[in-house]
Amino acid sequence: MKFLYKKWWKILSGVLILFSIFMGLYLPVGPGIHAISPNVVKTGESITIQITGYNAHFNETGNEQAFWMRKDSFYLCAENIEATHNDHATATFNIPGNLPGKYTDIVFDLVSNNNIDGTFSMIKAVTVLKNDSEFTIQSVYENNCKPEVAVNHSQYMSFPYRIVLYETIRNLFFHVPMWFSMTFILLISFIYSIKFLRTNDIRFDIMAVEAVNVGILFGLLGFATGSLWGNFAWGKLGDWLLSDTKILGALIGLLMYFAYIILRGSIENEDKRARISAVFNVFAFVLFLVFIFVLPRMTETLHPGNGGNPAFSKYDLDNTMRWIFYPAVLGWVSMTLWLTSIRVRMRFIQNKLNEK
Amino acid sequence: MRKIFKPISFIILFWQTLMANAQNGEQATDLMRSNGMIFVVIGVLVIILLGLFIYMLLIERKLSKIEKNINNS
Repeated sequence: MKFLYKKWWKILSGVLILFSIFMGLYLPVGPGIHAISPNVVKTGESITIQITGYNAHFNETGNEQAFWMRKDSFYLCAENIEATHNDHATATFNIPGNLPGKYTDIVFDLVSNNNIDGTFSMIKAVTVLKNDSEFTIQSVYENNCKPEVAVNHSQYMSFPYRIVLYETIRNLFFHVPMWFSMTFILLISFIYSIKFLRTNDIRFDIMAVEAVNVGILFGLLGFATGSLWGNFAWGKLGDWLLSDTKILGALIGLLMYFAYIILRGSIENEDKRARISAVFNVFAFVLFLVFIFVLPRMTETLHPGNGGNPAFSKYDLDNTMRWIFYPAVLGWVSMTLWLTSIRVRMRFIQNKLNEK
Repeated sequence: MRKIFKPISFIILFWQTLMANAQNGEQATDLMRSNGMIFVVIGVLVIILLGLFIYMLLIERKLSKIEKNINNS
């Protein structure tokens, strides 16, 4: 309990949150390939492709850069590269007259590599169609090049570039910690409800209810931020809000805790109220965990890290993001603890006044 | 009960007018989609800070009540 009255972790919480907000807004997103044109080419032609980058350094890096198309172990390198702008380059490809294997068309990834940005790519960028007039007998195809990757990673710290998300990938540091904090403070509430049931000490009941109070705040914040983000990343709000498993689970969880607050308000007897709501809280937390962590994994949802695969795999979080995401979670979690301790201390004073 | 419903109904009305405006003119969404949707991030930060600010006000109101109790007794 003395821990709650110490100052150092409250200062740490503020520092961590400020750090996450500053770094989360300061670092750039990218490099990435934003668009290419044309994206459908035919076999046997020599074509110049316009490449639009996103926070790339095509011009700055000079001659030491390469573009190639890739499909499995088949490579096709650009012959002539010109960069007029950091985010604009043209690359000329000599498409061979035949395609490997029995394909009639192949969808290639476009990969870029240079000394400043490292390697980055656009998945399924170029479709190569077989040109009937120049149909040649299939032979064993040889790659026209073997691209050498000198520098793999970007020289600058940056967040990964993802189509659909773009800059909103930064919301990971603001939206996700809301739910982490909510789960944490509800866990605290769960623990104090059990403690109350074991000891019958009314102070534990006060702690439990105030923790739920702060948990509801963070749940609502998670909802509001998530619906704004999803409105732009997943399309119109109404299309997915009530059909996504994880959101429905969170909604039901939140409603259970509303029920908890209302249940408390409806019982006059203080002792009875504390006991019944403590039992309710224990069940509510277990169900909350099931709704928010277990059920979304069994079905399809829009949220990353669900539908069978664990979250925070190497595809969701790269190393730069980890360095900001974990401090953000720690900062917001201690913030919930701080808010709860303030409310609990207020309630203790109120109780002392009522006893007099 | 009225105390709770008043702010909730206000928020719902506010949200509806906001949505109606967004459907009428595409300008609001155009701004949000510009520059790689950076304004969505700003919006999320504003929501969080606003939420904390309102929560602080609610805590303060509770504290004032306790202060009143102390002064009365």
